[in-house]
Amino acid sequence: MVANCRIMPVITFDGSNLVKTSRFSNARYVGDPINAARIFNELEVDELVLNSIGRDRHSKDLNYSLISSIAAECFMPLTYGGGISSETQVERLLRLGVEKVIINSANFRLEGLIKECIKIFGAQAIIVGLDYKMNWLNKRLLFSDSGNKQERIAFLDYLTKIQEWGPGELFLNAIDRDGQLNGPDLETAKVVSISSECPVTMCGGVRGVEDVRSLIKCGVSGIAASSLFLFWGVHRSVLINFPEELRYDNRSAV
Amino acid sequence: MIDYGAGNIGSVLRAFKLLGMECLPTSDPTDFCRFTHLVLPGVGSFDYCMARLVSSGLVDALKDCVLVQRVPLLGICVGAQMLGKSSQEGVGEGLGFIEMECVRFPGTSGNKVPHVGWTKLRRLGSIDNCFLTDKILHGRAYFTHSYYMLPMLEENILFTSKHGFTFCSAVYRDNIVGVQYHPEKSQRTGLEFLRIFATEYGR
Repeated sequence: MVANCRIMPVITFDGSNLVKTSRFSNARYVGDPINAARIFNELEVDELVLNSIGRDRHSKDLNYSLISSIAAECFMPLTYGGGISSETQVERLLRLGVEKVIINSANFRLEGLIKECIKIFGAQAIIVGLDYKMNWLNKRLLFSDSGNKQERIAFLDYLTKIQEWGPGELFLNAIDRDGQLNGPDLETAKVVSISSECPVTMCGGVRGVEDVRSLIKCGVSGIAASSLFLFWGVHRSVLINFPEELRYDNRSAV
Repeated sequence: MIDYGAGNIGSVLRAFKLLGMECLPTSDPTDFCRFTHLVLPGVGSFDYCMARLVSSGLVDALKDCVLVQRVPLLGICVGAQMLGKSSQEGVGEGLGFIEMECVRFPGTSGNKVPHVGWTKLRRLGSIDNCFLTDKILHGRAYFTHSYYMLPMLEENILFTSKHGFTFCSAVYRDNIVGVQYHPEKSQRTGLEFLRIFATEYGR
Protein backbone atom coordinates (compact mmCIF):
# COMPACT_ATOMS: atom_id res chain seq x y z
CA MET A 1 0.00 0.00 0.00
CA VAL A 2 1.25 3.48 -0.76
CA ALA A 3 2.90 4.91 2.30
CA ASN A 4 2.20 8.53 1.62
CA CYS A 5 -1.56 8.41 1.77
CA ARG A 6 -2.94 9.77 4.99
CA ILE A 7 -5.27 7.65 7.07
CA MET A 8 -7.10 9.67 9.66
CA PRO A 9 -9.64 8.99 12.37
CA VAL A 10 -12.49 11.46 12.67
CA ILE A 11 -13.75 12.27 16.13
CA THR A 12 -17.01 14.11 16.40
CA PHE A 13 -18.06 15.95 19.49
CA ASP A 14 -21.27 17.52 20.70
CA GLY A 15 -20.69 19.75 23.70
CA SER A 16 -17.90 17.91 25.43
CA ASN A 17 -18.96 14.42 24.48
CA LEU A 18 -17.43 12.21 21.86
CA VAL A 19 -20.29 10.97 19.68
CA LYS A 20 -20.84 8.88 16.59
CA THR A 21 -23.56 9.67 14.10
CA SER A 22 -25.42 7.50 11.66
CA ARG A 23 -26.04 9.22 8.34
CA PHE A 24 -25.37 12.49 10.17
CA SER A 25 -28.07 11.93 12.80
CA ASN A 26 -28.75 9.82 15.89
CA ALA A 27 -25.58 10.84 17.61
CA ARG A 28 -24.57 8.01 19.93
CA TYR A 29 -22.48 8.79 23.01
CA VAL A 30 -19.08 7.16 22.74
CA GLY A 31 -16.91 8.73 25.40
CA ASP A 32 -14.39 11.44 26.06
CA PRO A 33 -12.87 13.17 23.03
CA ILE A 34 -9.69 14.18 24.86
CA ASN A 35 -9.04 10.60 25.86
CA ALA A 36 -9.71 9.47 22.30
CA ALA A 37 -7.18 11.99 21.00
CA ARG A 38 -4.62 10.78 23.52
CA ILE A 39 -5.05 7.19 22.40
CA PHE A 40 -4.87 8.06 18.71
CA ASN A 41 -1.68 9.98 19.40
CA GLU A 42 -0.18 6.92 21.08
CA LEU A 43 -1.28 4.79 18.14
CA GLU A 44 0.62 7.25 15.91
CA VAL A 45 -2.18 7.91 13.44
CA ASP A 46 -1.30 10.11 10.47
CA GLU A 47 -3.68 12.88 11.35
CA LEU A 48 -6.72 13.51 13.50
CA VAL A 49 -9.88 15.21 12.33
CA LEU A 50 -12.00 16.90 14.94
CA ASN A 51 -15.56 17.67 14.02
CA SER A 52 -18.08 19.66 16.03
CA ILE A 53 -21.81 19.13 15.60
CA GLY A 54 -24.71 20.30 17.68
CA ARG A 55 -27.25 22.96 17.07
CA ASP A 56 -25.61 25.62 19.17
CA ARG A 57 -22.28 25.59 17.42
CA HIS A 58 -23.28 28.52 15.22
CA SER A 59 -24.71 30.66 17.99
CA LYS A 60 -22.06 30.20 20.64
CA ASP A 61 -18.45 30.58 19.73
CA LEU A 62 -16.29 27.52 19.23
CA ASN A 63 -15.34 25.35 22.16
CA TYR A 64 -11.74 26.57 22.27
CA SER A 65 -11.07 25.07 25.64
CA LEU A 66 -11.90 21.56 24.47
CA ILE A 67 -10.09 22.03 21.17
CA SER A 68 -7.04 23.26 23.05
CA SER A 69 -7.07 20.23 25.36
CA ILE A 70 -7.29 17.94 22.36
CA ALA A 71 -4.50 19.80 20.53
CA ALA A 72 -2.31 19.33 23.59
CA GLU A 73 -2.53 15.55 23.13
CA CYS A 74 -1.57 15.61 19.46
CA PHE A 75 1.98 15.38 18.15
CA MET A 76 0.52 14.72 14.74
CA PRO A 77 -1.54 17.16 12.68
CA LEU A 78 -4.97 18.13 13.91
CA THR A 79 -7.77 19.35 11.65
CA TYR A 80 -10.87 21.04 12.99
CA GLY A 81 -14.24 21.60 11.33
CA GLY A 82 -17.60 22.84 12.59
CA GLY A 83 -19.17 26.27 12.74
CA ILE A 84 -16.26 28.29 11.37
CA SER A 85 -17.47 31.61 10.03
CA SER A 86 -14.71 34.19 10.55
CA GLU A 87 -11.00 34.78 10.05
CA THR A 88 -10.64 35.52 13.76
CA GLN A 89 -11.81 32.03 14.60
CA VAL A 90 -9.35 30.51 12.15
CA GLU A 91 -6.49 32.54 13.58
CA ARG A 92 -7.35 31.49 17.07
CA LEU A 93 -7.61 27.83 16.10
CA LEU A 94 -4.24 27.87 14.36
CA ARG A 95 -2.66 29.46 17.37
CA LEU A 96 -4.07 26.78 19.62
CA GLY A 97 -2.29 24.08 17.67
CA VAL A 98 -4.82 23.15 14.99
CA GLU A 99 -3.02 22.62 11.68
CA LYS A 100 -5.91 22.90 9.29
CA VAL A 101 -9.53 23.98 9.39
CA ILE A 102 -12.49 22.69 7.41
CA ILE A 103 -14.94 25.28 6.20
CA ASN A 104 -18.26 24.09 4.82
CA SER A 105 -21.50 25.93 5.61
CA ALA A 106 -19.85 29.35 5.58
CA ASN A 107 -18.83 28.86 1.95
CA PHE A 108 -22.47 29.07 0.92
CA ARG A 109 -23.27 32.17 2.96
CA LEU A 110 -20.08 34.19 3.29
CA GLU A 111 -18.62 34.19 -0.19
CA GLY A 112 -15.46 36.10 0.63
CA LEU A 113 -14.45 34.16 3.72
CA ILE A 114 -12.58 31.27 2.22
CA LYS A 115 -10.58 33.38 -0.21
CA GLU A 116 -9.62 35.73 2.59
CA CYS A 117 -8.58 32.86 4.82
CA ILE A 118 -6.44 31.32 2.07
CA LYS A 119 -4.79 34.68 1.49
CA ILE A 120 -3.97 35.25 5.16
CA PHE A 121 -3.26 31.75 6.43
CA GLY A 122 -2.10 29.99 3.28
CA ALA A 123 -3.94 27.35 1.28
CA GLN A 124 -2.36 24.51 3.24
CA ALA A 125 -4.35 25.46 6.34
CA ILE A 126 -7.74 25.79 4.66
CA ILE A 127 -9.85 22.81 3.65
CA VAL A 128 -13.20 22.92 1.90
CA GLY A 129 -15.67 20.46 3.38
CA LEU A 130 -18.27 18.92 1.11
CA ASP A 131 -21.13 16.97 2.66
CA TYR A 132 -23.30 15.23 0.10
CA LYS A 133 -26.02 12.65 -0.38
CA MET A 134 -27.09 10.74 -3.45
CA ASN A 135 -30.70 11.19 -4.47
CA TRP A 136 -32.85 8.49 -6.09
CA LEU A 137 -31.59 9.57 -9.53
CA ASN A 138 -28.01 9.01 -8.36
CA LYS A 139 -27.38 12.72 -8.45
CA ARG A 140 -25.15 14.23 -5.78
CA LEU A 141 -26.83 16.81 -3.56
CA LEU A 142 -24.79 19.19 -1.42
CA PHE A 143 -25.67 19.85 2.19
CA SER A 144 -24.56 22.33 4.82
CA ASP A 145 -25.27 22.70 8.56
CA SER A 146 -24.36 19.12 9.46
CA GLY A 147 -26.60 17.74 6.76
CA ASN A 148 -29.65 19.80 7.73
CA LYS A 149 -29.80 22.20 4.81
CA GLN A 150 -29.73 21.25 1.17
CA GLU A 151 -27.82 23.66 -1.03
CA ARG A 152 -29.07 24.54 -4.52
CA ILE A 153 -25.80 24.68 -6.36
CA ALA A 154 -25.01 21.63 -8.47
CA PHE A 155 -22.20 19.40 -7.24
CA LEU A 156 -20.00 19.80 -10.30
CA ASP A 157 -20.57 23.55 -10.46
CA TYR A 158 -19.47 23.77 -6.86
CA LEU A 159 -16.32 21.79 -7.63
CA THR A 160 -15.46 24.32 -10.35
CA LYS A 161 -15.98 27.19 -7.91
CA ILE A 162 -13.73 25.51 -5.37
CA GLN A 163 -10.91 25.16 -7.89
CA GLU A 164 -11.01 28.92 -8.38
CA TRP A 165 -10.64 29.50 -4.63
CA GLY A 166 -7.59 27.27 -4.44
CA PRO A 167 -7.90 25.58 -1.02
CA GLY A 168 -5.32 23.19 0.36
CA GLU A 169 -7.57 20.17 0.39
CA LEU A 170 -11.10 18.91 -0.19
CA PHE A 171 -12.78 16.85 2.52
CA LEU A 172 -15.69 14.81 1.19
CA ASN A 173 -18.33 13.38 3.48
CA ALA A 174 -20.67 10.79 2.01
CA ILE A 175 -23.61 11.38 4.37
CA ASP A 176 -25.45 8.21 3.28
CA ARG A 177 -22.50 6.05 4.26
CA ASP A 178 -21.74 7.78 7.55
CA GLY A 179 -21.65 5.18 10.31
CA GLN A 180 -22.72 2.38 7.98
CA LEU A 181 -19.42 0.56 7.45
CA ASN A 182 -20.74 -0.41 4.00
CA GLY A 183 -17.82 0.67 1.85
CA PRO A 184 -16.81 4.08 0.49
CA ASP A 185 -18.23 5.95 -2.52
CA LEU A 186 -15.52 5.17 -5.05
CA GLU A 187 -17.25 6.85 -7.97
CA THR A 188 -17.40 10.23 -6.29
CA ALA A 189 -13.84 9.80 -5.07
CA LYS A 190 -12.73 9.32 -8.68
CA VAL A 191 -14.75 12.22 -10.08
CA VAL A 192 -13.54 14.69 -7.49
CA SER A 193 -9.88 13.57 -7.57
CA ILE A 194 -9.66 13.93 -11.31
CA SER A 195 -11.01 17.46 -11.26
CA SER A 196 -8.97 18.70 -8.28
CA GLU A 197 -5.50 20.09 -8.28
CA CYS A 198 -5.39 19.85 -4.52
CA PRO A 199 -5.41 16.65 -2.42
CA VAL A 200 -8.75 14.99 -1.73
CA THR A 201 -9.85 13.15 1.40
CA MET A 202 -12.84 10.83 1.42
CA CYS A 203 -14.90 9.95 4.47
CA GLY A 204 -17.87 7.65 4.91
CA GLY A 205 -18.29 3.87 5.01
CA VAL A 206 -14.62 2.87 5.14
CA ARG A 207 -14.30 -0.64 6.56
CA GLY A 208 -10.60 -1.46 6.40
CA VAL A 209 -7.48 -1.89 4.34
CA GLU A 210 -9.22 -3.06 1.16
CA ASP A 211 -11.35 0.08 1.09
CA VAL A 212 -8.23 2.17 1.66
CA ARG A 213 -6.54 0.50 -1.31
CA SER A 214 -9.61 1.07 -3.51
CA LEU A 215 -9.77 4.74 -2.57
CA ILE A 216 -6.10 5.26 -3.31
CA LYS A 217 -6.66 3.74 -6.76
CA CYS A 218 -9.36 6.38 -7.28
CA GLY A 219 -6.82 9.10 -6.70
CA VAL A 220 -7.57 10.27 -3.17
CA SER A 221 -4.64 10.85 -0.88
CA GLY A 222 -6.53 11.11 2.38
CA ILE A 223 -8.82 8.48 3.84
CA ALA A 224 -10.92 9.43 6.85
CA ALA A 225 -13.05 7.12 8.94
CA SER A 226 -14.86 7.19 12.20
CA SER A 227 -16.72 3.94 12.94
CA LEU A 228 -13.72 1.90 11.86
CA PHE A 229 -11.54 3.47 14.54
CA LEU A 230 -14.11 3.83 17.32
CA PHE A 231 -15.80 0.45 17.33
CA TRP A 232 -14.69 -3.13 17.30
CA GLY A 233 -16.34 -6.43 16.62
CA VAL A 234 -19.72 -7.63 15.47
CA HIS A 235 -21.55 -5.90 18.28
CA ARG A 236 -19.78 -2.61 17.64
CA SER A 237 -18.46 -2.18 21.14
CA VAL A 238 -16.58 1.00 21.76
CA LEU A 239 -12.87 0.40 21.39
CA ILE A 240 -10.62 3.11 20.10
CA ASN A 241 -8.28 1.39 17.69
CA PHE A 242 -6.08 1.77 14.63
CA PRO A 243 -5.71 -1.56 12.83
CA GLU A 244 -2.20 -2.96 12.53
CA GLU A 245 -2.27 -3.21 8.75
CA LEU A 246 -3.04 0.49 8.43
CA ARG A 247 -0.18 1.67 10.60
CA TYR A 248 2.64 3.46 8.88
CA ASP A 249 5.28 0.89 9.79
CA ASN A 250 3.31 -1.77 7.95
CA ARG A 251 2.91 0.12 4.72
CA SER A 252 5.38 0.02 1.86
CA ALA A 253 8.12 2.63 1.78
CA VAL A 254 8.04 5.64 -0.52
CA MET B 1 10.34 30.72 20.32
CA ILE B 2 9.98 33.91 18.41
CA ASP B 3 6.41 34.98 18.75
CA TYR B 4 5.59 37.43 15.99
CA GLY B 5 2.00 36.36 15.56
CA ALA B 6 2.29 34.03 12.59
CA GLY B 7 3.14 30.58 13.75
CA ASN B 8 1.74 27.56 15.48
CA ILE B 9 3.74 28.20 18.62
CA GLY B 10 1.54 26.14 20.93
CA SER B 11 2.51 22.85 19.34
CA VAL B 12 6.22 23.61 19.27
CA LEU B 13 6.20 24.68 22.91
CA ARG B 14 4.44 21.45 23.83
CA ALA B 15 6.94 19.37 21.89
CA PHE B 16 9.91 20.88 23.72
CA LYS B 17 8.07 20.50 27.01
CA LEU B 18 7.59 16.81 26.29
CA LEU B 19 11.34 16.58 25.71
CA GLY B 20 11.90 18.16 29.09
CA MET B 21 13.33 21.38 27.68
CA GLU B 22 12.48 24.91 28.58
CA CYS B 23 11.05 26.73 25.60
CA LEU B 24 9.47 30.12 26.07
CA PRO B 25 7.71 32.39 23.61
CA THR B 26 9.09 35.89 23.32
CA SER B 27 8.36 38.95 21.26
CA ASP B 28 10.89 41.10 23.08
CA PRO B 29 13.97 41.68 20.91
CA THR B 30 16.16 42.50 23.89
CA ASP B 31 15.40 39.01 25.14
CA PHE B 32 16.69 37.02 22.19
CA CYS B 33 20.33 36.59 23.10
CA ARG B 34 19.37 35.32 26.56
CA PHE B 35 18.35 32.06 24.96
CA THR B 36 20.62 29.17 24.01
CA HIS B 37 18.56 28.51 20.86
CA LEU B 38 15.97 30.34 18.82
CA VAL B 39 13.01 28.94 16.89
CA LEU B 40 11.27 30.81 14.10
CA PRO B 41 7.86 29.32 13.33
CA GLY B 42 5.72 30.28 10.37
CA VAL B 43 2.27 29.38 9.15
CA GLY B 44 0.59 31.28 6.36
CA SER B 45 1.83 32.90 3.21
CA PHE B 46 5.43 34.09 2.79
CA ASP B 47 4.50 37.77 2.46
CA TYR B 48 2.12 37.62 5.40
CA CYS B 49 4.73 36.08 7.68
CA MET B 50 7.56 38.36 6.58
CA ALA B 51 5.34 41.42 6.94
CA ARG B 52 4.42 40.38 10.47
CA LEU B 53 8.03 39.70 11.39
CA VAL B 54 9.15 43.06 10.05
CA SER B 55 6.33 45.00 11.67
CA SER B 56 7.01 43.29 14.99
CA GLY B 57 10.39 45.02 15.04
CA LEU B 58 12.28 41.81 15.63
CA VAL B 59 14.38 41.50 12.49
CA ASP B 60 17.42 43.52 13.64
CA ALA B 61 17.66 41.67 16.94
CA LEU B 62 17.26 38.38 15.09
CA LYS B 63 20.05 39.25 12.65
CA ASP B 64 22.33 40.28 15.48
CA CYS B 65 21.70 37.20 17.58
CA VAL B 66 21.93 34.74 14.74
CA LEU B 67 24.58 36.22 12.43
CA VAL B 68 26.79 37.93 14.99
CA GLN B 69 26.25 36.15 18.32
CA ARG B 70 25.77 32.84 16.46
CA VAL B 71 22.85 31.60 18.50
CA PRO B 72 21.52 28.45 16.81
CA LEU B 73 18.30 29.13 14.90
CA LEU B 74 15.66 26.68 13.70
CA GLY B 75 13.17 27.84 11.10
CA ILE B 76 10.01 25.75 10.69
CA CYS B 77 7.87 25.61 7.56
CA VAL B 78 7.38 29.21 6.40
CA GLY B 79 9.89 30.11 9.11
CA ALA B 80 12.41 28.06 7.13
CA GLN B 81 11.39 29.61 3.82
CA MET B 82 11.89 33.05 5.37
CA LEU B 83 15.57 32.24 5.89
CA GLY B 84 15.98 32.64 2.13
CA LYS B 85 15.96 35.65 -0.13
CA SER B 86 12.52 35.44 -1.68
CA SER B 87 9.59 33.23 -2.60
CA GLN B 88 7.51 32.86 -5.72
CA GLU B 89 4.55 32.99 -3.39
CA GLY B 90 5.00 36.70 -2.76
CA VAL B 91 6.89 39.86 -3.48
CA GLY B 92 8.53 40.43 -0.11
CA GLU B 93 12.16 39.89 0.75
CA GLY B 94 13.21 37.12 3.07
CA LEU B 95 15.84 37.36 5.78
CA GLY B 96 18.59 36.30 3.39
CA PHE B 97 20.41 34.09 5.92
CA ILE B 98 20.72 31.32 3.36
CA GLU B 99 21.22 31.71 -0.40
CA MET B 100 17.94 30.32 -1.61
CA GLU B 101 14.54 31.12 -2.96
CA CYS B 102 11.24 29.28 -2.79
CA VAL B 103 9.33 27.96 -5.75
CA ARG B 104 5.91 26.42 -6.25
CA PHE B 105 5.33 22.71 -6.86
CA PRO B 106 4.33 22.27 -10.52
CA GLY B 107 1.24 20.19 -9.77
CA THR B 108 1.69 17.72 -12.58
CA SER B 109 -0.64 14.73 -12.67
CA GLY B 110 -0.51 12.58 -9.59
CA ASN B 111 1.27 15.19 -7.54
CA LYS B 112 -1.24 17.40 -5.90
CA VAL B 113 -0.56 20.85 -4.56
CA PRO B 114 -0.10 21.51 -1.68
CA HIS B 115 2.11 18.58 -0.77
CA VAL B 116 0.32 17.25 2.28
CA GLY B 117 1.41 14.17 4.12
CA TRP B 118 4.16 12.09 5.58
CA THR B 119 7.42 11.61 3.71
CA LYS B 120 10.88 10.24 4.44
CA LEU B 121 13.87 12.47 4.96
CA ARG B 122 16.85 11.43 2.88
CA ARG B 123 20.53 12.20 3.18
CA LEU B 124 22.09 13.96 0.22
CA GLY B 125 25.10 12.03 -0.99
CA SER B 126 27.47 11.15 1.81
CA ILE B 127 27.22 14.26 3.98
CA ASP B 128 27.33 13.77 7.71
CA ASN B 129 26.04 15.75 10.64
CA CYS B 130 24.29 15.31 13.95
CA PHE B 131 20.81 15.12 12.39
CA LEU B 132 21.59 12.11 10.25
CA THR B 133 20.69 9.46 12.79
CA ASP B 134 19.01 6.14 12.07
CA LYS B 135 15.94 7.25 13.94
CA ILE B 136 15.46 10.19 11.63
CA LEU B 137 16.46 8.53 8.36
CA HIS B 138 14.14 5.59 9.05
CA GLY B 139 11.33 7.79 10.21
CA ARG B 140 8.93 10.14 8.47
CA ALA B 141 7.99 13.78 8.71
CA TYR B 142 4.79 15.69 8.12
CA PHE B 143 4.69 18.23 5.33
CA THR B 144 2.04 20.69 4.27
CA HIS B 145 3.25 23.23 1.73
CA SER B 146 2.76 24.49 -1.81
CA TYR B 147 6.24 26.01 -2.10
CA TYR B 148 9.58 24.35 -1.53
CA MET B 149 13.09 25.66 -0.87
CA LEU B 150 15.65 25.89 -3.63
CA PRO B 151 19.09 26.61 -2.18
CA MET B 152 21.80 27.85 -4.57
CA LEU B 153 24.50 25.75 -2.95
CA GLU B 154 24.34 22.00 -2.54
CA GLU B 155 26.27 22.32 0.72
CA ASN B 156 23.21 24.02 2.25
CA ILE B 157 20.95 21.00 1.66
CA LEU B 158 20.38 19.02 4.86
CA PHE B 159 17.62 16.64 3.70
CA THR B 160 15.77 15.84 0.53
CA SER B 161 12.33 14.29 0.19
CA LYS B 162 10.08 13.18 -2.61
CA HIS B 163 6.82 14.53 -3.94
CA GLY B 164 6.76 13.41 -7.53
CA PHE B 165 10.39 14.48 -7.75
CA THR B 166 13.15 14.99 -5.22
CA PHE B 167 13.08 18.38 -3.52
CA CYS B 168 14.99 20.00 -0.70
CA SER B 169 13.17 19.44 2.57
CA ALA B 170 15.70 20.99 4.96
CA VAL B 171 18.54 23.50 4.71
CA TYR B 172 21.43 24.43 6.96
CA ARG B 173 24.36 26.76 7.19
CA ASP B 174 26.62 27.20 10.21
CA ASN B 175 24.30 27.76 13.19
CA ILE B 176 21.14 28.03 11.12
CA VAL B 177 18.82 25.20 10.12
CA GLY B 178 15.51 25.39 8.31
CA VAL B 179 13.02 22.55 7.92
CA GLN B 180 10.09 22.53 5.53
CA TYR B 181 8.24 19.89 7.56
CA HIS B 182 6.68 20.32 10.99
CA PRO B 183 8.84 18.52 13.55
CA GLU B 184 6.29 19.37 16.25
CA LYS B 185 3.72 17.36 14.31
CA SER B 186 5.93 14.54 13.15
CA GLN B 187 5.61 12.30 16.17
CA ARG B 188 8.77 10.46 17.16
CA THR B 189 10.86 11.52 14.14
CA GLY B 190 10.01 15.14 14.76
CA LEU B 191 10.66 14.95 18.47
CA GLU B 192 14.02 13.32 17.81
CA PHE B 193 14.88 16.15 15.41
CA LEU B 194 13.97 18.79 17.98
CA ARG B 195 15.98 16.98 20.63
CA ILE B 196 19.07 16.94 18.44
CA PHE B 197 18.63 20.62 17.55
CA ALA B 198 18.38 21.60 21.19
CA THR B 199 21.18 19.43 22.50
CA GLU B 200 23.73 18.98 19.73
CA TYR B 201 23.37 21.43 16.87
CA GLY B 202 25.37 24.57 16.58
CA ARG B 203 28.01 23.58 19.08
